[in-house]
Amino acid sequence: MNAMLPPPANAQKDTLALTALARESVASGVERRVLHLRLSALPAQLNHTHHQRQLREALLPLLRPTRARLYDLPNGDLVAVSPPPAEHLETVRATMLKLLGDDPAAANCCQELRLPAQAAALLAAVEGGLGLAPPAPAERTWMQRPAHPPGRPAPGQPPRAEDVLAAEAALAPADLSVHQRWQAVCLLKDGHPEPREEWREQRLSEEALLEALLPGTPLAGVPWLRRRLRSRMARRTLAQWARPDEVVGFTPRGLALLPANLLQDEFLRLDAMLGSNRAMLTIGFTLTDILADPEAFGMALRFAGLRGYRTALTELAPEELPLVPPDLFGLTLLKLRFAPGLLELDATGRAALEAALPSDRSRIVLSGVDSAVAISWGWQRGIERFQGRLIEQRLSLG
Amino acid sequence: MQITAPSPESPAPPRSAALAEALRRCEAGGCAGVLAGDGLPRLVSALLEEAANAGDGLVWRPRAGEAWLLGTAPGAAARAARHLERMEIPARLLDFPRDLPLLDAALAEDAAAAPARPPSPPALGGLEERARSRPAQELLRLGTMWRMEGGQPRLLAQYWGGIPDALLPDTFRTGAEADWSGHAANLLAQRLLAMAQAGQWPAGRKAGLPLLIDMPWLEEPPPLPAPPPGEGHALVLPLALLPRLLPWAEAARAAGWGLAWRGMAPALLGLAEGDRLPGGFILAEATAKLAAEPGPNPARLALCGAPTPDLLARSARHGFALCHGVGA
Repeated sequence: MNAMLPPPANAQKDTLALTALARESVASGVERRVLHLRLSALPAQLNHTHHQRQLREALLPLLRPTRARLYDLPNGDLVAVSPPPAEHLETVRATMLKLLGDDPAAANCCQELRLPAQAAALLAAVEGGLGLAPPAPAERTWMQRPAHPPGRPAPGQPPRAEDVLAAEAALAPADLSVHQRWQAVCLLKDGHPEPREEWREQRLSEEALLEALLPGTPLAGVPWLRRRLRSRMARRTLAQWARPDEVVGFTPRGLALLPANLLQDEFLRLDAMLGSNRAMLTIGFTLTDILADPEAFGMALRFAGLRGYRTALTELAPEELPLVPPDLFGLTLLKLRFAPGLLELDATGRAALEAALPSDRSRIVLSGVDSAVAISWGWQRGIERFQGRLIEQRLSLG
Repeated sequence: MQITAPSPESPAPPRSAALAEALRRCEAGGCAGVLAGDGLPRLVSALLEEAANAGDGLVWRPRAGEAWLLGTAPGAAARAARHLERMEIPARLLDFPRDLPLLDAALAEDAAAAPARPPSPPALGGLEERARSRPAQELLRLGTMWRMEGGQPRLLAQYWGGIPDALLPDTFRTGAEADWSGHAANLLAQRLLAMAQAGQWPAGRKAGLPLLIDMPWLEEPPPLPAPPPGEGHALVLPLALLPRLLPWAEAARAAGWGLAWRGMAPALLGLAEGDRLPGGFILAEATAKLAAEPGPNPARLALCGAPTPDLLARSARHGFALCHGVGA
């Protein structure tokens, strides 16, 4: 492929292409050599539009007869990518240094990378090109590095916005499968020992995944940033489910989402693919997620109603039950998490709980069922849908 | 950095063949379309694309941001318009050739519009530092809460809150980026809390009025300062803290504060019934929908926004309070 100079209007497209190329290289193991020309980091006296144009004009003829491809980043940086051995990239680098003279700054403006080994560095450069890296304060020269580069917040400190953006970028290509597991929701009637599976829910070990993304970083004080990462994780699952091979064999299933997820591309793509299978999907929202973003929840609820999805108030703790209006905010199902404390309620507590449960018990799923006591507690209240470790054991035995 | 900025006089890009074909169909007549506003672009596109696929039409998005479904079968267009209406997204059903003048005007406007420029790069970096270091008067406001009574405004309280938009780059202020807005609001509430803990109360405070102060979303209540002299002061909790009501209510009571809530929206008005949300005011952003249907307990509701004549009239009718100077 011949090198070409796309107008910077292509920068967004190029950024995406470059990201895809880095991922493909990692996935396929195909080697590439990369030269990142950090024009945006040129010393001030060389950082004028005409300098940049001169540099491009000098570099292009060197690349044109080769198989190198040139990418524009939105910040004006250039990235040349070529199959190995790529001596011409070395020529470009030498030319660039010659053009820039003896300024030691120049050396830092040419960075060589190898794919797939240094894909992370390339993605970081792309991210920097999007302007996601922290802007340099006025007193810092372009050469100094920030004390805590994005993605690595100071130990023990809550993450900053830029750390979360970097973690999101790291999440995009990550394999989540070790953190995903399926758990069935079963109909189990009193006197019928065989549970009947109705749908399966995909659950994500959020804590483990967050710890892997931002090790040792406390997220308790930054609930909105935590939500952001959880939203990203849900989007990964949705994208996975919208793949044609997944949609063909789509089985009844459930997933906990943030309300805003329903208005994002990944869900809308799945929605378009599902067509008449939409009723097979049960979308769960936690109470806190509903309370935190009620505007998005209103839209999500209307959209789910329009499309015929089933919805659930999920992972509700028994003590939160009195907080929920009797209409469950308009959601279809209530997934109540069993807690041993339920067995110790006195008569008043039991009466209050009974009054707060939806009268139509077929709308309730008792989750966190680890013991037979939980099932009999449910049966006593007319609940016949269960989810939990014990149910999984019974299913595997059956 | 822009190397070769497109010159303003560069000609409009040529129309795609698909758009030209859709326009030809509209001119021939006998087909329909939908014009939807510029909110929730992804959802609107998805609903319109569906109709376009079903009715052999095209979705066109001019630079102004709205979405047009063009040249599609009348049934598919009517269904898309119905769906948008159910989603409470403003939409208008179009009939061609009757509505051709409308389309022609939009095409002419789009051709004359400045070429789309790439959005300025987002700059979220340093958000936390800015929330701590920028002058308080740029980020924090003292709003006034009042109600129309007998044709006269009566002052009820003052509300000390943050302006998250002052902290965020433009591209992060939209509804789709609620998490960043929430994070910014939380950072500002933390700053308010720190100021209150240091005994710094806002300038312009009226001694006779209760003070409402934004609290950050923290699972465990932090050490709370004593309120300033006077009665009726309250901590404004984000609704997300409702599951943590018990420890917060206990901490607030012990320190001498009442409770108020912020972040109400139509979908959650059921919470205002009974004693699910103990305390005083429930603050919400003023929207036409909430003003028209303020729910089961309008006396506790305070709508934050510019006091338009419509809002005043509805406040007088339903009895909800108004707050201006700071959002919720």
